[in-house]
Amino acid sequence: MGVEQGPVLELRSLVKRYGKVPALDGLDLTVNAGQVYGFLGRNGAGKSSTLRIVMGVTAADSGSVSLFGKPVKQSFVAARQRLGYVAQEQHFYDWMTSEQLGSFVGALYPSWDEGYFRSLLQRFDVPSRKVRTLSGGMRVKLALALALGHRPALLTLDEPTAGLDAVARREFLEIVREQSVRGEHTTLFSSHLIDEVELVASHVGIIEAGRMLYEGPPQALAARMRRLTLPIQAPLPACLEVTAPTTESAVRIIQDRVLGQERELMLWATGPAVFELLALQELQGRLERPSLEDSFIALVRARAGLGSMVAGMATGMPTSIMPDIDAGLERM
Amino acid sequence: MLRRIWTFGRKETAEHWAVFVGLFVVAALLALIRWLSSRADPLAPGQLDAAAAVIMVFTPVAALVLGRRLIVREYQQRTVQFLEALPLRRAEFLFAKLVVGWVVLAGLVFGIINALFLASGEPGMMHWLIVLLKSLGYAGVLWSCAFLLGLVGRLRFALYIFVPLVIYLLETTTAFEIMRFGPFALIDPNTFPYERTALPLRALGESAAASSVLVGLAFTLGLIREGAFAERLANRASPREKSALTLSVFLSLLAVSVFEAKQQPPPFEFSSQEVERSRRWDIEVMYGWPELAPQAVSVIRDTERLFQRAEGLIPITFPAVRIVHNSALDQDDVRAVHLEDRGGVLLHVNLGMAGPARAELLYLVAHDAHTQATDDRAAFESQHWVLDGYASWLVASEDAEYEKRSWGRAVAAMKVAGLASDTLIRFEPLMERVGEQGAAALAFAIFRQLVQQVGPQRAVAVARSVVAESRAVWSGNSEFSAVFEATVGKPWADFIGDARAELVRRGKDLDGEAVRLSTSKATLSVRPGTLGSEVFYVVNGGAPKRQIICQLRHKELPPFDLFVPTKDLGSHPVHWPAGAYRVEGRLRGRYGSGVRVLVALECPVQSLGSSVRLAVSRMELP
Repeated sequence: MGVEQGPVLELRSLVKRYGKVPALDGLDLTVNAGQVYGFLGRNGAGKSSTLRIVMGVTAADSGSVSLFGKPVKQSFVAARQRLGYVAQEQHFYDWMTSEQLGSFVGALYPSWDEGYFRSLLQRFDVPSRKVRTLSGGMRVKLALALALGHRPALLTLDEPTAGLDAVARREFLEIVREQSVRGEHTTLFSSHLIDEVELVASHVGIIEAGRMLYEGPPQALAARMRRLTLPIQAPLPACLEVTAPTTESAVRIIQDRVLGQERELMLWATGPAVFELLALQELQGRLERPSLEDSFIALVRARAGLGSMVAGMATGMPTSIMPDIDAGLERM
Repeated sequence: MLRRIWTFGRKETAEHWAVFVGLFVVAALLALIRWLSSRADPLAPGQLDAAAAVIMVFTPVAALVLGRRLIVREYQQRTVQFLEALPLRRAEFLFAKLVVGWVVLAGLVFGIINALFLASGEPGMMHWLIVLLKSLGYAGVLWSCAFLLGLVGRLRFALYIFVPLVIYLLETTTAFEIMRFGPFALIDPNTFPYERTALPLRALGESAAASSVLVGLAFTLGLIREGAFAERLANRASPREKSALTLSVFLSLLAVSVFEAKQQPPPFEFSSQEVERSRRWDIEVMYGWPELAPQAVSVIRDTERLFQRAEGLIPITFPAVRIVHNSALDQDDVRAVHLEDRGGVLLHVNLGMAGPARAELLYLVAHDAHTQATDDRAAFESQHWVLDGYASWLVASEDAEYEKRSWGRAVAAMKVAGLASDTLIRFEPLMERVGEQGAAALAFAIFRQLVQQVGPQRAVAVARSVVAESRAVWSGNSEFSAVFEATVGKPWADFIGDARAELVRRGKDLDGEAVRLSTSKATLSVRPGTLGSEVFYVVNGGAPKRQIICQLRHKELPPFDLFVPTKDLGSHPVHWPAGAYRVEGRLRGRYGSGVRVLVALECPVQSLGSSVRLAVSRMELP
């Protein structure tokens, strides 16, 4: 099955509450065809709720979900038949063998390719045994083979490596990357482990407290963030001396921490050119491009109001700037 | 959609086939055991009785097992989350489970019915279909209920307590009767084997409605909030919930004890079309077969005549009388079913047989109607003989043949048990010694003698004191003797002496066979044998002209000494060859060591239309 054009998955203003606890708070998300979309967020940020809504397992309180250009409620089964899903925990019928499970699942998909499924089992080294005898890693690989057996247009992975050891995790990620490289389907990969996503994702979406903080290529995120490390007594560059940041600021400090004798600032700019200008100034410290993990942590902390820290303690950065950061990030 | 349901249904079958096969095997074994035991019991009316019993006992258990396997397991093992990620709607897999469970349960019922029909050689496809439809209606409700209980997860344990409690409270505080409602009415053991010529449409309709409501509730529960509610209910109970459940059990027991006052429910009603009804009294006869309608009309007329006469003598409010045709009974066999909770009398008789059953039926109608009218007080031991004597006299005064037979039985009973002044006062030991028919006949003889000596008015006055003024219960021989002397004007001991003389005189009219058999001596003993203790019997005397088949009646006794009705005893045939003066044999391998057993030896006497009990013993096996 070839990769579609345009958005494969669109979520707009999604709201979901569990009792009084909000899980999603107006979430927007777009996954375009051919992307490997890394869906990043802390535990409890709303990733699983989002995926459960996409799969139709849970209904949203409000907002819209479109799969392959159609509202998901209109074409529930048809949309499902084009989706592959690997859950966080595998609850298979453990009395079945992997082949029997494939036969059962395959009968529900018109596009099921038994030969392809068996070749995947072989390639993933999943033995032909009853599911109850398979290890956690094997079960995840079996889940991936089942999700791919009907050649889905969208493969959805919901923190599939949770609970796997380091070797099994790496093995699984390599398989996912290998499948992604083939470009046969779009992939939505949810995780709270940044290194996992970095390995495979072409695009990332960062969710915190049910809202999207950033959506775009990871390189673009890195391009708009810098880590400035200064000696603790060194003055801030003039362009950063803002006591009350505004949305008009070209560069804003979204994290300010004291680590031993150094002060570490995470900077957010409206564009990479700003950092080039900053680099031209005589800085007493180092200006570096942060890793995706550092960027993620800084953004999440900023959203959570923990942007200004001294040795891990909050110093009381005005939370009033947070909506501005949200607005700034979402405009990107 | 059908393809997806079919796929899922196949998965269910592949997953649970061992359980399905197990249930079928257990059902087959139960049906076989029931069939064998009914073959061993000559009093058993037919195989459909066995079917009703097996269906009633086994299918609820099977439904719960299926509900546990098909529903609870899916949610508890969280495989439902795997299904939710597949292109399969929740309603589709729930529907597949509903169908698979219903087919299996209906198949069990179908198998039981089919096997027992084949075993009994019941004729007629139409009859077979009607019984099958009734069974399927019942299975449908049962499975819907188990299906819903499966979806309520851990709350089902609470429902196991609360549903019966609610039904109990409804039954005790309102006119609602569960056994007359929809599915339960369909398999009521009192009607199931007999109502097979007309469809019980009302009960079937109620069953369909109940199934629809239960399935609707189950689907609502399974689909509400995308199944999240049912999934949450499937979690194991927390310690707090377990404590709440324990407290609920305690409160339920308390509630039951508070609501014990039970209203008198309306009498039993037949749902069949082939029922003849009395216009004057609440008497109904269900004849089952159209060609038996004239006999049903005749029974109604006879019963009306009996009631009319009885009402003129002792004015009481007669309870509802229900008479059911049972083709499996012998011509002189009438079976009474106790309906204490329904305020009526239910009797089984074979309407197709010409013979002495009519008089026996009328005697039981009179006896049971008067017993019910006094809330059983008339049958208290010291005055029980008055009730039996009066009821027999009512019938005998209209039926010379019955009167003759009763005198004959009384003579035979006296030969066996003797007749002293306290023989009738200690009525339960007398019944055990000579059987209920023998005791009733002796009571008849005494009452008849009373009528002879003091006239019907004063004799009926004694009966009235028992039946209509039954608050005055005699506590023993001395109290009764005083009441008797005050009413009749003659000491009780003198009266018994006269009665004994009369029975001796009438003994000369007894035919030779009856005399020989009733004077035969039998002994019962216990001996060690190869298979443990054996009950050994020896009969001396008799020498019947033709071979007769006596019965060694037996039953394990509870640890207390209560009267055991003949209908509750098991039977072991004893062949007494023609001309033989001695018969001996043993009953072995039936009861274990330390068990208390009631054993009685009975031989049929054709001229009396009943059996003579030659010996009876309560024995403890070493």
